[in-house]
Amino acid sequence: MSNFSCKLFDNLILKSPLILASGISGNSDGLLVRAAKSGAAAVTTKGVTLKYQKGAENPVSTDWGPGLITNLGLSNPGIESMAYMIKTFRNEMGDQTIPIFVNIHGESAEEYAEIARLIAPSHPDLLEIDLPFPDETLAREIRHAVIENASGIPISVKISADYPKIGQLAKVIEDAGADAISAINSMKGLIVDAYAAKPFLSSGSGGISGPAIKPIALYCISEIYQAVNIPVIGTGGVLTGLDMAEMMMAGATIVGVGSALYYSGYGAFSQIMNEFETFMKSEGYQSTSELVGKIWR
Amino acid sequence: MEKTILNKEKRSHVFTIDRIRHENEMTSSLIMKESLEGEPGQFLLLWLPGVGEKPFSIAGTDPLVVTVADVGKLTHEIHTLQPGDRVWIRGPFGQGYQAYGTDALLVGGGYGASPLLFLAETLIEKGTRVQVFLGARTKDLLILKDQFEELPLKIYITTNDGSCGIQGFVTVPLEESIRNLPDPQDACVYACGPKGMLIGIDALCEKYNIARQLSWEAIMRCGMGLCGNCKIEMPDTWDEPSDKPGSKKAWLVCRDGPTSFTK
Repeated sequence: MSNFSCKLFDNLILKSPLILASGISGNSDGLLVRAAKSGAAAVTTKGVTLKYQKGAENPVSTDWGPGLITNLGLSNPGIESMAYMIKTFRNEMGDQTIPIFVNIHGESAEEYAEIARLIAPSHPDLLEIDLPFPDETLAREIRHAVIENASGIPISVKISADYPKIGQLAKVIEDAGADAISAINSMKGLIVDAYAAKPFLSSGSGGISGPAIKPIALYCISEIYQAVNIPVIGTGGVLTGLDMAEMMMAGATIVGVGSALYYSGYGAFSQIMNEFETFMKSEGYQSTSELVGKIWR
Repeated sequence: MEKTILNKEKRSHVFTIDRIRHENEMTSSLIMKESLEGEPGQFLLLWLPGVGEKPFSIAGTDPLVVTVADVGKLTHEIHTLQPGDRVWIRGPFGQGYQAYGTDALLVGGGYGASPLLFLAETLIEKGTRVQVFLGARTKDLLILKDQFEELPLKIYITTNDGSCGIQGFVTVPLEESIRNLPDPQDACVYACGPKGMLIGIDALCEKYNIARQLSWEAIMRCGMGLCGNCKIEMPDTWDEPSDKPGSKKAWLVCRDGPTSFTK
């Protein structure tokens, strides 16, 4: 395999641009290890809250054709168990150092500060802040609250496509001191079963992911890329090596996959990297940095 | 492959109950008007709008049969349904049983027998010699005994309390039958039931170096390999495939399984 290492920050270099995004398998150290051993260059935990959350009743997810819809109701073991999971993950991986990113979810700046304080001693390689709703003031407050408590751990803020001026929001987040931007989150949607005359998911609405949101993700990433100077962690509907190349050309430095594990299982990582390598070779690219933001250069 | 295929197949479809067969005091089989393509050992997700959705073994495909034990909120609600009522079903999902060898030994613990009648019918059609071992705590918890007895196969019944068949665990007649196999290398044990029973059967098969396909149970949520809720650790005897690194300690019942195959 060619060298596709890529630098997210000066002190964080990944063996490839392909990582496990937040939301899939991220409630289990065993499954995070499986993703890492399957080829993920970094893994992201599922969104973790201050306390354990049981989550929603079934049905929580379905394949509706062009994409998936999921609402697990933020089921997660709580931040203290997550600290333990980070330790177990690192023990299991031994010499193979695969960075672990922790996605955190709160309702207020104070709650984010508390979560950051509790997870900081475990030194995750990155804290990904799941913005509860896209509001510039809140983004700034949360970012400040986390930075105070995160003891120098790099921070990325994950934003959804719902915000009309996504580049402007990203700039606000960068100015508040974020180290990266993750985009996009799954998008709110609703699936109705006509025969049942009811929403299919027990929670009603859910997050749309998979191929259905890929063009939206590419648009948002390219807007963000043009607005900021910090790296973009791209997510949204990547299933193939070409999808990954396209997302990097739109402006992503690294790319996360989630729904791909539904479509292709854990083999998705090696499949995407093989396709990516074929593309890089056939087009004569030497390094991943040549791709990032290529459509704008 | 075109995504439209997924569109048609992956969403829930309405099925209508044609008739209901009572298996025992707490277990009934819903026999639908419609059929569903699927293999023995695969599962489906059955949704009752407003109540919930749970995984069930496919107990027959043409017409579709679903065997349901009354053990919780959703299954209790299912037991109130009548012929003509509708249920919502998506699937099939997961890895089913594969035909392997001339002799098949099918082992069902309690309502774990539910996919095995369909499996027995499928294997007999392929010309496999079938023996069935049904075990339960007590006589009232046995299911499908009469249906198995109508098929050309040998059947062994065990109950822990001796209320039906041989008293003791199902592994006792199973071990004897394994010993009497003409060629253990040309045979396979197929089992479905509680984890403890599967572990016992796995150890027994390891002792006699016989192939086995075990169908594992877990509390399943998404059923699509996303949430990780049904993750289990496989027994030591199970070899991790080289194309699935890390799967031994994090095996997804919904995607890698529900059936594991050890040769």
